[in-house]
Parts: sequence; structure tokens; C-alpha cells
Amino acid sequence: MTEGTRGQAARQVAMVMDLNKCLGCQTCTVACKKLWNRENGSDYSYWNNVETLPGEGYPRRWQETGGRDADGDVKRGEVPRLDQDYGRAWKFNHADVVHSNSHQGDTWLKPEGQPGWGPNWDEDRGAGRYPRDNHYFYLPRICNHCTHPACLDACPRKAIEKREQDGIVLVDQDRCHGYRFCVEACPYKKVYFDTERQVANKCIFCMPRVEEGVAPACARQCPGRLRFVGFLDDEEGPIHKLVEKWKVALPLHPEYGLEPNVFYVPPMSPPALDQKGRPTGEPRIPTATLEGLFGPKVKDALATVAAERVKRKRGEPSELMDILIAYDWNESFELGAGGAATPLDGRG
Amino acid sequence: MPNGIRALDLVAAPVGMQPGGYVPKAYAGRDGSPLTPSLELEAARPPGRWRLRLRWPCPDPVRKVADDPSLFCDAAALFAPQHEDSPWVTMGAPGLGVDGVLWRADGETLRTITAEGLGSMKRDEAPEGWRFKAQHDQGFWQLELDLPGWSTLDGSGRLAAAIWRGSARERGGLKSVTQGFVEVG
Repeated sequence: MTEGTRGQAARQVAMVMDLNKCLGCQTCTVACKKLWNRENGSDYSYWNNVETLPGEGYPRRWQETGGRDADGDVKRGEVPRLDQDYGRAWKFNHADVVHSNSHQGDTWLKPEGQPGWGPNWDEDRGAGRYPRDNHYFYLPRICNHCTHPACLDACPRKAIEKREQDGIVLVDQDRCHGYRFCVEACPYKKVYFDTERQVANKCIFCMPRVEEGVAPACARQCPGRLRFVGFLDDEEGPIHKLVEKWKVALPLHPEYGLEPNVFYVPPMSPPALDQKGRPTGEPRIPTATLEGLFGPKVKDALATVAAERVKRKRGEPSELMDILIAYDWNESFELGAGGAATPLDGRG
Repeated sequence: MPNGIRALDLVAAPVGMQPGGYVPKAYAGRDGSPLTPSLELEAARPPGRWRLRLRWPCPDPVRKVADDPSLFCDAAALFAPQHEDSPWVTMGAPGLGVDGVLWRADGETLRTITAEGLGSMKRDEAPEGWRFKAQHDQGFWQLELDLPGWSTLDGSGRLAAAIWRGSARERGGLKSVTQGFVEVG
């Protein structure tokens, strides 16, 4: 348990992401960035990002530089650096390309300078040996709106609150003095610093939308329909069913002890091959890799999904498969007062 | 040392009393030697104003943080007690406030500060006429302040100082401070 946690929520809004369906298309990233995060000073920051794993992540080495150790105890974290860890937002030679009088092809669109790192720098690289066990998967990440937020615990100015009505964690930028202990302490590195305004900022779970029963933009815009949104205590909603009933959605790094409220259905993978090209029966994505991310319940979650898939293939009904397939995206979002999400057409 | 110049030994502000659960644990053991061990303070009181000069060692100054979120700039604060019993080390207490002035190496203007305890500091624009001149030379910062109409200091005649060393990522409660209020007038 984290000391100093304040404002325990009466209800908790949450998100589930099915990693078996993520395409790595970054539509969620763009939807979020365009909506909330376009100003100078936060141009480097992505409240929503999608990273390739195995990989260094965004910001680089975030899994090593947070303010919690493997036992959930406080350790001194790091504030990521712009160029080496986040990656500076690239400027492109648009004007040169548009106004060039040179022959077609002589001037092409390229970043100015020599970028050495940035979000998705190692995209699709993954790990393993082709063709035997090469593998990668995508991990979309937003603020986890933890039940015991490390950022809130770290702020000496009480500038971070966890809302009682929905558990969304927000920065009060009028109180924030830019000390960045929140950035340092968050083991998920999902608090950013606006260098222009000198205050912290972070994912707000599209709070104004949620207040109207509308799902966050990252979820609503997802072409893969891999995101589910609702309240944890809504037994008829998808979150409760995936997290509590079927237990196939797991928090990221539960060992930090912060109780994240974003959950993941871990990715299944085809079998690795032996030297003669025969399936070994072992998944290409090592179970240990997934357990390192989602904890010891990974095996059970994968087994449940696999069993329900088999049932479905046999033509038998499966509530779990029906939810995960998401035939009707409206049913993926349950934010109303016990009812369906407010229709969104035309509001993105 | 010329008359009127005070040489003050600084201490590291105790991290154990910092608000929240993170800083006291993450920075435990930091209370030993202050990163800025000493401060020269010179105070003069021409009619209606305070002229203060501070000088402290800083081998690696940080004047600008540009657009890098991992950088912190050098800073200094002076504050005076609003009441006889205003505590110094906690920057006041409820009902026993302090107020003063904050300088940042990347700022073009001074800011006023008021506080009634750790984590309660409020910053505001400094009154018109409050001016400063800062320069770094041969490993030392020198900050000259011209502060007309600082009534709290007029009343108390006592000051405390805090120095933040940006290169060591000092900010908030991570700072070197005087060992109490110092008589200046």
C-alpha cells in the first residue's frame, strides 16, 4: 500500500485492451494527440502511445526508471530526458519540398537534423530468431489511473487528485509548481512535463467525454475494436466481465502495488519451431516475458482465452468470445448510468 | 570580509518532513552535507527599501532548461516571518506564515512567495520596482536584489534563505537552507 494516497474513489472507470487485436496503427495515439496535446511544451509527450515489445518502450527504459521496485517499495526514479529518452518531436522540411524548383525526387521529405531516438524507434523489431521464434506484439499505454497513484503520493503540493466519482487521476495545474516528483515516481512514466507552461500534465481519461457517457477518444477511434471502457463495479459491463468474471484482463506490472485500472488481455502467439521447423508447442512470445509484464496470472488468462476459442470454433456459445470479438462497438463502452454509452456518431 | 557581510553555513533541508510518501523515502539519507554549503548575505536598508546581496558557490550553473523536462535551473529564495513564531524550516505554519522573494536563473522577473507550511507555497508576480541583477562568475552566483516596500522584512528584520542547485536536480524540498532566521536589520 502506498502511503499518502488520498481521495479513494467511490467508483472506478477502467479500460481493457485486448493485445490479440492491436494492429499498431497508432490511430489511438493520433486521436489523443490531436484532441489534447498539440501545444508547444508538450509536443514530445504522448498521453497515449503504442510501443513494440520486446523493445525499449516510450520513454526509453520506462520499466527500469520508475519510482517503485519489484516489491512495490519506493525507489528513486528518474525524470526522462528529452532527446535520449522521449525523443524530440521531429521538424520536417515541408517548405523545401513544397516550394522546391528542383527536379522531382531531388528534394524529399525528411526530418531536419539527425534524430537518434524517438517513439517507436524500434518499432516491429521485436526479438527471437527468424524463422524459429521471432516475435513481437504491440502494447498501447495510457495513464493507468491507479487506485494508489504513485504520482499523487509523490506530489508535495497535493496538486494531483483522484476523483471520487470515477477514479480518474488529474493534475491541478494551478497548484502544480513543476517539481516533477510525479514524473519521477510514476513507474509507468505516464506523467509528462509541459516545458512551456512549467507544469505536469497527463492523460485525463477524456474526462469531459466520460462525464457525458462518451468513451475516451483513444478507445472510440480504435479500428481494431480492442478497447473496452466502463466501470469496474458494473457487473453487466464489459470491464467487470473481462477483469472479474472471466479474469482474462490483467494489470500491467501488478508488482508495483499501485493497482492500475487499465487491464490487458495478454497476447497469444503461434508456436515456436524447432531446428527442423516443427512446432515445439511453446508459444513464440515466451510466457516469462508476459509474466514479467502482467504477473503470474498470465497462464490462467491465456488458458481461458484458448479454451473459449476452441468452444467457439466448435460452434458453442461463448460470452467471452462475443465480448472480445466486439461485433457491435457500442457494447464495448458502458459508461451510462447502468446503460449503454451515449451514441457518439459525429463526435469522434 | 567587509563589514555587514554575513557568512552563513547552510544545511540540507530535512527530506523526512517533506509532504507525500515519495520524497522522504526516495531521498532518504540525503540530509547529510548540503550541496550548497555556504552563503554570503549582505543587507542594507536605505529609506523605504531593502538592498540584499547573496553570493554562493555553484560550480556548474544551470541558467536555462530550454525544452528538456529533465533539467532544473538554479534558484534562490529569501523569506521573512510574518509572526514572531513563524517556523523557518517548514516555511511557516498555518496562521504563522512567511513571505519573500523567489529568483530563478531562467527568469526575467522576480516572483513573490507566501507560505504557511511545506507544500503550501504560493507564487505571484513581484511588486513593480522589485529588481534583481544576477551573474555567475568563477564558480559563484551573485544575486543583487533591490526590494522597495517589503513590509514583512521591515517588521521582522529577519530573513531565511534557500538555494536550489539545478545541476543536482534540486527543487521543492530538495534544497540547502540557512540554519534559521538571520537578523539583518
